[in-house]
Amino acid sequence: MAMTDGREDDLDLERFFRAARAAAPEPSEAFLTRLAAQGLAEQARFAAPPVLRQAPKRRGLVATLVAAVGGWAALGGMAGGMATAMVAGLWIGLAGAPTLVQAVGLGSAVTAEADSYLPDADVLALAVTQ
Amino acid sequence: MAFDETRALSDETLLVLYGNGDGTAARALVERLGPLAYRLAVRMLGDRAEAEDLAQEALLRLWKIAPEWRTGEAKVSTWLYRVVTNLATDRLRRRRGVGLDEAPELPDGAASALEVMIETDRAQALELALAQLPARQRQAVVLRHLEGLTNPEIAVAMEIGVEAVESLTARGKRTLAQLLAPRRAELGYGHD
Repeated sequence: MAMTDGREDDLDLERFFRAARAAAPEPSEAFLTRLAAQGLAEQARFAAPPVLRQAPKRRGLVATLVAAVGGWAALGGMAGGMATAMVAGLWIGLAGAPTLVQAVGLGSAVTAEADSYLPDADVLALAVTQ
Repeated sequence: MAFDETRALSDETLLVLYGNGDGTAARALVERLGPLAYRLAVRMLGDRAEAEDLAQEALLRLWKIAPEWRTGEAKVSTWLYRVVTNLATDRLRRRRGVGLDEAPELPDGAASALEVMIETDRAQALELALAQLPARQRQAVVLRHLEGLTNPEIAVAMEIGVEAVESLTARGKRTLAQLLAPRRAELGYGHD
Protein backbone atom coordinates (compact mmCIF):
# COMPACT_ATOMS: atom_id res chain seq x y z
CA MET A 1 0.00 0.00 0.00
CA ALA A 2 1.17 3.48 -0.73
CA MET A 3 1.09 5.18 2.60
CA THR A 4 -1.01 8.26 2.74
CA ASP A 5 -0.33 10.84 5.35
CA GLY A 6 -0.35 9.60 8.95
CA ARG A 7 -3.43 11.55 9.96
CA GLU A 8 -5.67 9.80 7.45
CA ASP A 9 -4.37 6.40 8.55
CA ASP A 10 -5.07 7.32 12.14
CA LEU A 11 -8.65 8.21 11.29
CA ASP A 12 -9.21 4.93 9.51
CA LEU A 13 -7.60 2.90 12.22
CA GLU A 14 -9.65 4.63 14.83
CA ARG A 15 -12.76 3.21 13.20
CA PHE A 16 -11.33 -0.28 13.53
CA PHE A 17 -10.35 0.39 17.10
CA ARG A 18 -13.81 1.65 17.89
CA ALA A 19 -15.37 -1.47 16.40
CA ALA A 20 -12.99 -3.64 18.40
CA ARG A 21 -13.73 -1.78 21.63
CA ALA A 22 -17.45 -2.24 21.06
CA ALA A 23 -16.94 -5.94 20.47
CA ALA A 24 -14.63 -6.49 23.41
CA PRO A 25 -14.33 -10.15 24.35
CA GLU A 26 -16.28 -10.86 27.52
CA PRO A 27 -15.59 -13.73 29.88
CA SER A 28 -18.35 -16.21 30.58
CA GLU A 29 -20.14 -16.22 33.92
CA ALA A 30 -18.84 -19.71 34.52
CA PHE A 31 -15.29 -18.49 34.12
CA LEU A 32 -15.83 -15.59 36.50
CA THR A 33 -17.37 -17.99 38.99
CA ARG A 34 -14.25 -20.15 38.76
CA LEU A 35 -12.06 -17.10 39.31
CA ALA A 36 -14.03 -16.13 42.41
CA ALA A 37 -13.85 -19.68 43.75
CA GLN A 38 -10.11 -19.67 43.23
CA GLY A 39 -9.86 -16.34 45.05
CA LEU A 40 -11.87 -17.59 48.01
CA ALA A 41 -9.86 -20.80 48.18
CA GLU A 42 -6.61 -18.88 48.17
CA GLN A 43 -7.96 -16.51 50.79
CA ALA A 44 -8.99 -19.41 53.02
CA ARG A 45 -5.49 -20.80 52.70
CA PHE A 46 -3.64 -17.73 53.89
CA ALA A 47 -6.35 -16.53 56.27
CA ALA A 48 -6.57 -19.84 58.13
CA PRO A 49 -5.36 -19.54 61.70
CA PRO A 50 -2.00 -21.18 62.21
CA VAL A 51 -2.10 -24.68 63.59
CA LEU A 52 -1.82 -24.46 67.36
CA ARG A 53 1.14 -26.32 68.74
CA GLN A 54 1.64 -27.21 72.37
CA ALA A 55 4.03 -24.69 73.75
CA PRO A 56 6.79 -26.35 75.76
CA LYS A 57 6.38 -25.87 79.52
CA ARG A 58 8.92 -23.58 81.04
CA ARG A 59 11.07 -25.27 83.66
CA GLY A 60 13.18 -23.83 86.34
CA LEU A 61 16.93 -24.23 86.33
CA VAL A 62 16.94 -27.06 88.86
CA ALA A 63 14.22 -28.95 87.03
CA THR A 64 16.10 -28.48 83.76
CA LEU A 65 19.31 -29.84 85.27
CA VAL A 66 17.47 -32.75 86.84
CA ALA A 67 15.82 -33.54 83.54
CA ALA A 68 19.17 -33.40 81.83
CA VAL A 69 20.46 -36.29 83.90
CA GLY A 70 17.35 -38.39 83.53
CA GLY A 71 14.91 -37.09 86.13
CA TRP A 72 14.55 -37.28 89.85
CA ALA A 73 14.48 -41.07 89.95
CA ALA A 74 17.76 -41.27 88.15
CA LEU A 75 19.14 -38.58 90.35
CA GLY A 76 18.14 -40.58 93.44
CA GLY A 77 19.95 -43.61 92.17
CA MET A 78 22.87 -41.48 91.19
CA ALA A 79 23.03 -39.93 94.64
CA GLY A 80 23.23 -43.35 96.26
CA GLY A 81 25.76 -44.49 93.75
CA MET A 82 27.81 -41.36 94.22
CA ALA A 83 27.93 -41.86 97.97
CA THR A 84 29.06 -45.41 97.49
CA ALA A 85 31.61 -44.34 94.94
CA MET A 86 32.93 -41.62 97.21
CA VAL A 87 33.42 -44.03 100.07
CA ALA A 88 35.00 -46.60 97.82
CA GLY A 89 37.21 -43.96 96.28
CA LEU A 90 38.33 -42.73 99.63
CA TRP A 91 39.22 -46.23 100.71
CA ILE A 92 41.09 -46.99 97.53
CA GLY A 93 42.85 -43.70 97.62
CA LEU A 94 44.11 -44.07 101.11
CA ALA A 95 44.68 -47.78 101.39
CA GLY A 96 46.13 -48.22 97.99
CA ALA A 97 48.22 -45.09 97.70
CA PRO A 98 51.65 -46.69 98.37
CA THR A 99 50.80 -49.58 96.13
CA LEU A 100 49.81 -47.28 93.30
CA VAL A 101 52.88 -45.16 93.73
CA GLN A 102 55.03 -48.24 93.59
CA ALA A 103 53.16 -49.53 90.61
CA VAL A 104 54.10 -46.51 88.53
CA GLY A 105 57.74 -46.80 89.52
CA LEU A 106 57.89 -43.97 91.98
CA GLY A 107 58.37 -46.14 94.99
CA SER A 108 61.85 -44.77 95.63
CA ALA A 109 60.50 -41.27 95.80
CA VAL A 110 58.13 -42.10 98.61
CA THR A 111 59.89 -41.61 101.86
CA ALA A 112 59.39 -43.36 105.13
CA GLU A 113 57.92 -40.11 106.45
CA ALA A 114 55.15 -40.36 103.94
CA ASP A 115 54.28 -43.76 105.29
CA SER A 116 54.11 -42.41 108.80
CA TYR A 117 51.52 -39.79 107.83
CA LEU A 118 49.19 -42.37 106.31
CA PRO A 119 46.80 -44.03 108.73
CA ASP A 120 46.66 -47.73 108.73
CA ALA A 121 44.37 -49.03 106.02
CA ASP A 122 42.56 -51.34 108.30
CA VAL A 123 41.72 -48.59 110.70
CA LEU A 124 40.32 -46.48 107.92
CA ALA A 125 38.26 -49.31 106.59
CA LEU A 126 36.80 -49.84 110.03
CA ALA A 127 36.00 -46.14 110.37
CA VAL A 128 34.16 -46.09 107.10
CA THR A 129 32.03 -49.06 107.91
CA GLN A 130 31.07 -47.55 111.24
CA MET B 1 -19.94 -6.34 53.88
CA ALA B 2 -22.76 -6.33 51.35
CA PHE B 3 -21.74 -6.63 47.71
CA ASP B 4 -23.36 -3.30 46.82
CA GLU B 5 -21.18 -1.55 49.35
CA THR B 6 -18.08 -2.58 47.41
CA ARG B 7 -18.98 -0.43 44.43
CA ALA B 8 -17.85 2.74 46.15
CA LEU B 9 -14.50 1.24 47.11
CA SER B 10 -11.28 1.46 45.13
CA ASP B 11 -9.56 -1.62 43.75
CA GLU B 12 -6.82 -1.13 46.27
CA THR B 13 -9.20 -0.95 49.21
CA LEU B 14 -10.89 -4.11 48.01
CA LEU B 15 -7.56 -5.83 47.73
CA VAL B 16 -6.67 -4.89 51.28
CA LEU B 17 -10.06 -6.13 52.46
CA TYR B 18 -9.50 -9.33 50.55
CA GLY B 19 -6.14 -9.72 52.23
CA ASN B 20 -7.88 -9.31 55.56
CA GLY B 21 -10.21 -12.20 54.80
CA ASP B 22 -13.24 -10.44 53.33
CA GLY B 23 -14.90 -12.85 50.90
CA THR B 24 -17.15 -10.22 49.37
CA ALA B 25 -14.05 -8.30 48.32
CA ALA B 26 -12.89 -11.37 46.37
CA ARG B 27 -16.09 -11.46 44.36
CA ALA B 28 -16.01 -7.70 43.78
CA LEU B 29 -12.42 -7.86 42.54
CA VAL B 30 -13.29 -10.67 40.16
CA GLU B 31 -16.19 -8.67 38.79
CA ARG B 32 -13.90 -5.72 38.10
CA LEU B 33 -10.62 -7.29 37.17
CA GLY B 34 -11.61 -10.65 35.72
CA PRO B 35 -13.02 -9.15 32.51
CA LEU B 36 -10.03 -6.84 32.21
CA ALA B 37 -7.53 -9.68 32.49
CA TYR B 38 -9.49 -11.91 30.15
CA ARG B 39 -10.10 -9.20 27.54
CA LEU B 40 -6.46 -8.20 27.46
CA ALA B 41 -5.34 -11.82 27.29
CA VAL B 42 -7.64 -12.51 24.34
CA ARG B 43 -6.32 -9.50 22.50
CA MET B 44 -2.75 -10.47 23.18
CA LEU B 45 -3.06 -14.16 22.42
CA GLY B 46 -6.01 -14.35 20.05
CA ASP B 47 -7.12 -17.58 21.71
CA ARG B 48 -9.99 -17.58 24.18
CA ALA B 49 -9.21 -20.84 25.91
CA GLU B 50 -5.60 -19.86 26.41
CA ALA B 51 -6.73 -16.41 27.50
CA GLU B 52 -8.85 -17.93 30.27
CA ASP B 53 -5.86 -19.89 31.44
CA LEU B 54 -3.68 -16.80 31.43
CA ALA B 55 -6.28 -14.62 33.17
CA GLN B 56 -6.67 -17.24 35.87
CA GLU B 57 -2.93 -17.34 36.39
CA ALA B 58 -2.80 -13.54 36.61
CA LEU B 59 -5.61 -13.42 39.16
CA LEU B 60 -3.94 -16.14 41.18
CA ARG B 61 -0.87 -13.92 41.41
CA LEU B 62 -3.09 -11.10 42.59
CA TRP B 63 -4.60 -13.27 45.32
CA LYS B 64 -1.20 -14.35 46.48
CA ILE B 65 0.25 -10.87 46.64
CA ALA B 66 -2.79 -9.39 48.41
CA PRO B 67 -1.59 -9.94 52.01
CA GLU B 68 1.66 -8.08 51.23
CA TRP B 69 0.18 -5.41 48.95
CA ARG B 70 1.87 -2.08 49.61
CA THR B 71 -0.78 0.57 49.43
CA GLY B 72 -0.17 3.78 47.55
CA GLU B 73 2.60 2.41 45.33
CA ALA B 74 0.82 1.20 42.20
CA LYS B 75 -2.67 0.97 40.83
CA VAL B 76 -4.03 -2.54 41.06
CA SER B 77 -5.24 -2.42 37.46
CA THR B 78 -1.83 -1.26 36.22
CA TRP B 79 -0.18 -4.06 38.17
CA LEU B 80 -2.59 -6.52 36.55
CA TYR B 81 -1.96 -5.12 33.07
CA ARG B 82 1.73 -5.70 33.65
CA VAL B 83 1.25 -9.26 34.85
CA VAL B 84 -1.03 -10.15 31.94
CA THR B 85 1.34 -8.51 29.48
CA ASN B 86 4.33 -10.39 30.85
CA LEU B 87 2.52 -13.71 30.92
CA ALA B 88 1.31 -13.16 27.37
CA THR B 89 4.81 -12.26 26.26
CA ASP B 90 6.15 -15.49 27.72
CA ARG B 91 3.48 -17.55 25.99
CA LEU B 92 4.01 -15.83 22.67
CA ARG B 93 7.72 -16.35 22.91
CA ARG B 94 7.26 -20.06 23.58
CA ARG B 95 4.62 -20.33 20.90
CA ARG B 96 6.55 -18.67 18.14
CA GLY B 97 10.11 -19.01 19.15
CA VAL B 98 10.94 -15.62 17.66
CA GLY B 99 12.10 -12.36 19.13
CA LEU B 100 9.42 -10.07 20.44
CA ASP B 101 10.28 -7.31 18.02
CA GLU B 102 10.43 -9.49 14.98
CA ALA B 103 7.42 -9.73 12.72
CA PRO B 104 6.42 -13.34 12.33
CA GLU B 105 5.99 -14.81 8.90
CA LEU B 106 2.39 -14.61 7.77
CA PRO B 107 0.96 -18.11 7.63
CA ASP B 108 -0.17 -19.39 4.26
CA GLY B 109 -3.60 -18.08 3.49
CA ALA B 110 -3.50 -15.40 6.15
CA ALA B 111 -4.04 -12.64 3.65
CA SER B 112 -7.14 -14.21 2.17
CA ALA B 113 -8.41 -15.10 5.64
CA LEU B 114 -7.92 -11.49 6.59
CA GLU B 115 -10.01 -10.39 3.66
CA VAL B 116 -12.84 -12.72 4.65
CA MET B 117 -12.76 -11.45 8.16
CA ILE B 118 -12.80 -7.85 7.06
CA GLU B 119 -15.91 -8.47 5.05
CA THR B 120 -17.75 -10.06 7.92
CA ASP B 121 -16.56 -8.33 11.05
CA ARG B 122 -14.44 -5.24 11.42
CA ALA B 123 -13.51 -6.01 14.97
CA GLN B 124 -12.37 -9.49 14.09
CA ALA B 125 -10.44 -8.07 11.19
CA LEU B 126 -8.56 -5.87 13.57
CA GLU B 127 -8.02 -8.81 15.90
CA LEU B 128 -6.54 -10.82 13.08
CA ALA B 129 -4.38 -7.92 12.00
CA LEU B 130 -3.21 -7.41 15.58
CA ALA B 131 -2.15 -11.04 15.66
CA GLN B 132 0.25 -10.31 12.82
CA LEU B 133 2.09 -7.64 14.77
CA PRO B 134 5.26 -8.28 16.69
CA ALA B 135 4.26 -8.94 20.29
CA ARG B 136 5.54 -5.72 21.82
CA GLN B 137 3.91 -3.57 19.17
CA ARG B 138 0.66 -5.41 19.65
CA GLN B 139 0.80 -4.92 23.39
CA ALA B 140 1.42 -1.21 23.08
CA VAL B 141 -1.37 -0.74 20.53
CA VAL B 142 -3.87 -2.80 22.52
CA LEU B 143 -3.13 -1.01 25.75
CA ARG B 144 -3.28 2.41 24.11
CA HIS B 145 -6.14 2.10 21.67
CA LEU B 146 -8.31 -0.69 23.03
CA GLU B 147 -7.74 -0.48 26.76
CA GLY B 148 -7.41 3.29 26.78
CA LEU B 149 -4.29 3.55 28.92
CA THR B 150 -2.11 6.63 28.73
CA ASN B 151 1.44 6.31 27.47
CA PRO B 152 2.92 6.70 30.98
CA GLU B 153 0.58 3.97 32.22
CA ILE B 154 1.64 1.73 29.35
CA ALA B 155 5.26 2.48 30.16
CA VAL B 156 4.68 1.17 33.69
CA ALA B 157 2.74 -1.85 32.47
CA MET B 158 5.36 -2.79 29.91
CA GLU B 159 8.30 -1.74 32.05
CA ILE B 160 9.76 0.48 29.34
CA GLY B 161 10.14 4.21 28.79
CA VAL B 162 7.43 6.48 27.44
CA GLU B 163 9.41 7.14 24.28
CA ALA B 164 9.65 3.42 23.62
CA VAL B 165 5.89 3.18 24.05
CA GLU B 166 5.37 5.93 21.49
CA SER B 167 7.71 4.22 19.07
CA LEU B 168 6.07 0.81 19.46
CA THR B 169 2.60 2.29 19.08
CA ALA B 170 3.53 4.24 15.97
CA ARG B 171 5.19 1.27 14.30
CA GLY B 172 2.30 -0.99 15.25
CA LYS B 173 -0.25 1.36 13.78
CA ARG B 174 1.69 1.70 10.56
CA THR B 175 1.74 -2.06 10.18
CA LEU B 176 -1.96 -2.32 11.03
CA ALA B 177 -2.78 0.28 8.44
CA GLN B 178 -0.88 -1.74 5.86
CA LEU B 179 -2.57 -4.97 6.85
CA LEU B 180 -6.06 -3.49 6.85
CA ALA B 181 -5.65 -1.31 3.78
CA PRO B 182 -6.63 -3.82 1.07
CA ARG B 183 -10.30 -3.99 2.04
CA ARG B 184 -10.66 -0.64 3.70
CA ALA B 185 -12.49 1.04 0.83
CA GLU B 186 -14.96 -1.81 0.47
CA LEU B 187 -15.86 -1.54 4.12
CA GLY B 188 -16.62 2.11 3.81
CA TYR B 189 -13.33 3.26 5.24
CA GLY B 190 -12.14 4.86 2.03
CA HIS B 191 -11.07 8.44 1.69
CA ASP B 192 -14.32 9.96 0.57
